[in-house]
Amino acid sequence: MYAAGLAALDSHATSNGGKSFAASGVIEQDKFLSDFEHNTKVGDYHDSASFFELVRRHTLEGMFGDPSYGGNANFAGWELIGYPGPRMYVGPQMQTMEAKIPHSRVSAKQLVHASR
Amino acid sequence: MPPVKLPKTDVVVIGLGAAGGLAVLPLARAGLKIVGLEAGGWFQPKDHLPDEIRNNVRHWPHAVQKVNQEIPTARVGRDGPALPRPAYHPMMNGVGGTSLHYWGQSWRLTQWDFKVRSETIRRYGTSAIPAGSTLEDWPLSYEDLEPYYDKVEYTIGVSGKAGNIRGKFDEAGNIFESPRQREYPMPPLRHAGFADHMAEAAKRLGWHSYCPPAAINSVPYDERPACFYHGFCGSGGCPINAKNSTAVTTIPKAVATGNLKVVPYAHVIAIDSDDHGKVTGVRYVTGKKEYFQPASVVLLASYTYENSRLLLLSKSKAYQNGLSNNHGQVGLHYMSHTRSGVMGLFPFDLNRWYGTPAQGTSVDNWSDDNFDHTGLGFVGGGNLLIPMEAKPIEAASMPTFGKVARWGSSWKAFVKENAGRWSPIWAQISTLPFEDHFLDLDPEVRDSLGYPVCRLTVGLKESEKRAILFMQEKAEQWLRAAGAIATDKLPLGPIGLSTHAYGGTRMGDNPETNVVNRWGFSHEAPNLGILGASIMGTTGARNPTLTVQALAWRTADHLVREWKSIAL
Repeated sequence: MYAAGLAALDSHATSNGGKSFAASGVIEQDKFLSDFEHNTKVGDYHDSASFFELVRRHTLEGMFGDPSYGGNANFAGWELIGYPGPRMYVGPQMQTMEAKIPHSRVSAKQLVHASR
Repeated sequence: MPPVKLPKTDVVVIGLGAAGGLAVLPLARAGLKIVGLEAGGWFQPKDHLPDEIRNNVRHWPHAVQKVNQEIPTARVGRDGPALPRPAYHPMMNGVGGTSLHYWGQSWRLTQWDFKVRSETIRRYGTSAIPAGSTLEDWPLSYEDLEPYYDKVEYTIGVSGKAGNIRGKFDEAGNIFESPRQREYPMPPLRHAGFADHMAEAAKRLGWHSYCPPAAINSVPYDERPACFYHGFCGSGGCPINAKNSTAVTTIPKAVATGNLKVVPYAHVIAIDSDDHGKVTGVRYVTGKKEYFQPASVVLLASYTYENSRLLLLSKSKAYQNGLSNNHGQVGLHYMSHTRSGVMGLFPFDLNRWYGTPAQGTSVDNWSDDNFDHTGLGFVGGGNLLIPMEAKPIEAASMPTFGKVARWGSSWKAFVKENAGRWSPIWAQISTLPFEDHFLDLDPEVRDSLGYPVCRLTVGLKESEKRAILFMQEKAEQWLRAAGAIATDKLPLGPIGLSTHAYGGTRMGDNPETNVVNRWGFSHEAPNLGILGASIMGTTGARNPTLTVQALAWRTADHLVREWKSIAL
């Protein structure tokens, strides 16, 4: 699905802007992605919205999933959204709305390894 | 090659999940010899990691199990379109079944749930029952089941606060619950800050909120620790055994009696029966070898879809259309919760990151028959729940409330500010059975052994659409009262596979319209009992597991009491 989707994205960029997707400008890239998201005007490739959703979902998983899978480098995704990270025990004070919780900065694997 | 014939046992239980794994305890304590056939294996606390990708994205372990080889298909109606088949089965295999990784919400149904038909007609007239519904009252009352609810709550351990003890009401608990004989064995789970915030908003609306009951230890119970609230409970097993699955409660106790033999990785393919219509035992495959386990009594305790499917696949001279299906009732009266939700965006941090979903706050003012339905055009309503536990991928997958695009730099700025500022309210809406909603065998799709998978035929009725819209309005009202600045309602979608699936082997006194009798035994095959939500005739507005377990205990008790007439 990735191979076909990326080829369609390049073909869409080339036929609408004369350049491959990677060589297109930022504004054009956004427009091409938006076309894909809404399944509009993408030539013979009829599955562009599904492809867009797949890539979006994988991006979310990579950025906000456990760092042991290779994404979310240096906990950047978790820090972006304020997720304080996995910990084995969460006390009552950590569940108040006012709590300022320090980032645990551990992956699931590190956490489980440390607690054994 | 003929199957290997094993020595006969008293009882064979198919599936050691929430239902089968519960029933084995009263049977084993009564001295019956039981073989428990389970499609999965044993899990250890170390198997349960705080890892959203593993549990919630890649769906370990069910993604690699028997269940995933037999995902049912679904279509909207007899002539309606087929729905896309999901990549994962919603349930899992394992000793303990889906009670290993469920939310643990452990509600009792109410008195009304057992007599929805007669109560609706009494209060609103016959025309209030939607056309085409096959609704019947249950053959037993809440009062009949109450002692078993109590046994299950104290045996596995349920935390909560009673709202009605023998008619004495307590505002600290759920005042809409039906009378119970005593307090819960454990206090409710911890009150999180946001749950308290929502409780105050409910109070301002004149609604009553309470901390919902859960099969999760709020304090140490039965030599297992209290919940650590680490926030990986939904679709995740418990690493410290604080979640009271049958794998850590009733099954080990049954094994300790010496009367339960657990057979893991047993893939059951048929229940056999003789020419007189009695069941003789169970055929299963393990390690590519087929076995026949003879038994005096068979208890079928797999999930709703597999209960109907296995009966339909088990054909014999006495049951040419499937076991216990000579009245054509297997697969009928299928229902699932039309779970619906509204998401609310707040201008402040909610801190829902940790905890466990069952730890939230709930409202029952708009469920069951707790309000006047005159002119509303639907029966029942829904329980509203604010859950805790917002795992990071889930939090960042938030709706954008029409404020920004779903990607790019504006989206990134949006989730940076708001991923910790939104919450769902889930509504579990009671559903009725209809003559054109049913389970059968798919004519084309087959499992890994070549047997047809289950097929769902189920749509959304107008009365149910009205109930959903009504509940969404209530949920939105609650969110706004709590300070939400935007809300987003889930669309009215088609109904696919569900973790709350009911019917197919309905319980009732009339064998023309029900598969099992009031004790859970087949009207046709007297030594076949069926456990699970597949026997329930109404859904209620809340999670089914505790009711499934109370019914399973009652069926087991009946079997012990009536052993001679059922088994011999």
